[in-house]
Amino acid sequence: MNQRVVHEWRESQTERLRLAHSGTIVSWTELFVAPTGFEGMTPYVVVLVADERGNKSYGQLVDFEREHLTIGQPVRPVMRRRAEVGHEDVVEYTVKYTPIL
Amino acid sequence: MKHTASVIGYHTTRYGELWNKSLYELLAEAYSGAIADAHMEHGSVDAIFLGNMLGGVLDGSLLLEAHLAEGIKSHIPMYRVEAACASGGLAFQMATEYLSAHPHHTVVVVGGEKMTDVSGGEISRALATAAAPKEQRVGLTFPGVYALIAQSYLHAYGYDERHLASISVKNHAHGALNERAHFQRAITIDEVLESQYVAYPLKVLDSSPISDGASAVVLTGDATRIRTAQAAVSVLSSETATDTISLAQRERIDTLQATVCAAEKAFQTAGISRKEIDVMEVHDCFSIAEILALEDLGFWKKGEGGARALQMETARDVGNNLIVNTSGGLKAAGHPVGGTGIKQIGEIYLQLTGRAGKRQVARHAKGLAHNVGGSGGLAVVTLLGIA
Repeated sequence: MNQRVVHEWRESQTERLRLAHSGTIVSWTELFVAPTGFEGMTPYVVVLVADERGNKSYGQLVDFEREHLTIGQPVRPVMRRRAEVGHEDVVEYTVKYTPIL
Repeated sequence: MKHTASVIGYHTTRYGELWNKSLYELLAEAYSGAIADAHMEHGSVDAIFLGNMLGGVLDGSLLLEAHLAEGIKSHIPMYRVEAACASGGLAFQMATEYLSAHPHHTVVVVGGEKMTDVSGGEISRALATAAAPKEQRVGLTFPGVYALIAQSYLHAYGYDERHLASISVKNHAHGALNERAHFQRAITIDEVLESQYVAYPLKVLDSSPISDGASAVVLTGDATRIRTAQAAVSVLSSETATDTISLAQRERIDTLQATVCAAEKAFQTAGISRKEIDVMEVHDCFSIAEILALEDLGFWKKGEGGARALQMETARDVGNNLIVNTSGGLKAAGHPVGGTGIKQIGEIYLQLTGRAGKRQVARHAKGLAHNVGGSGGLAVVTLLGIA
């Protein structure tokens, strides 16, 4: 079996992420130069979010206005497409964040 | 380790886009130059420590020790050290540990990188191998990770992009005096502010370049060699510390705890105070990194860095006692990642021995070199002084 598929399967077996209902932006940046796979998305915003339990996680910010790009902005997790079409044309999904209005 | 080893020779290639030279040619040039500077014969080197990050990732070449052995025709022990952008600094630190076990030996610490043979996307991917997988998965790059650090810092202390830009302006002014620097021209605050964003708030001119190059120092514990050397500088201490690979796992993101820990150990081991340091090379991979370095090394209080950077307190021509990044830093001198940590030590060696030419500082009894891997997952702090 393709080794990358094995690697991804193993990660899916071992990674459990309990998402909080909401969190706040600890920091944010807007990427203008992207790594491979994200070139078609520039510019895009990545936020570092702290949830109610104090755990921090990364995600892209979606469905926002410029005024939401501020440290302390409340956000909630949503499921969205991760990047460009992934391995073997599988569309990969991931957690992103959107402002709580 | 205290006063057991001394640097007695140094050479660096020019840093820049060196398309006509391979990694091994660069390493061999730095190695040969360093032993010539120390007035030594090739056969009197007992071991080589080799700092390199991307050989193996970019060109599929591992066992770099054997590649170098073939180039310099030698059978001596060689140790390749990888710690991302701190590969050179950690190679030097490990060489000092080796000399504790072999106190009369003489070693060469050489580091270098070949980075401009591949596309921007490929080099970004290669460098990102030293970032946390969760950072890579959301499309973060190294500039992106440092941008998160910068945003947090600017927000916490009320600074803006001008405070960051001041670091690049100062380091380019220094780099203009360094004939081996990648960029040898001065820039203005406005030029930095008008350059393109890479990862907001960091712009092209807040960022160190992708460079080719190699640097080497000769390090010895042999008392006779030290006594007869043309120029010798004692290693007062060389310490390293680590931290999480992911920013998200750190208690706060506007400080690099690995730097704090390595600096504390280094000053404690050397038994000197920060006030005794005259000249430093610190890890300015991005402008924000130099501000944090001055704070985390214990020279500036937390939160003061932005204001003090804007005043350009550490510029050579301002006349203060603590001068930072006379080589031009990573920003202007360039950043071939495996070579940087050794170039930093070499620059301090030149300054302390009064051989830094146009960029020589007036007071030069003790110096510090600070090298960081990744976004602060590892740091090395080395203190040097005139014997």
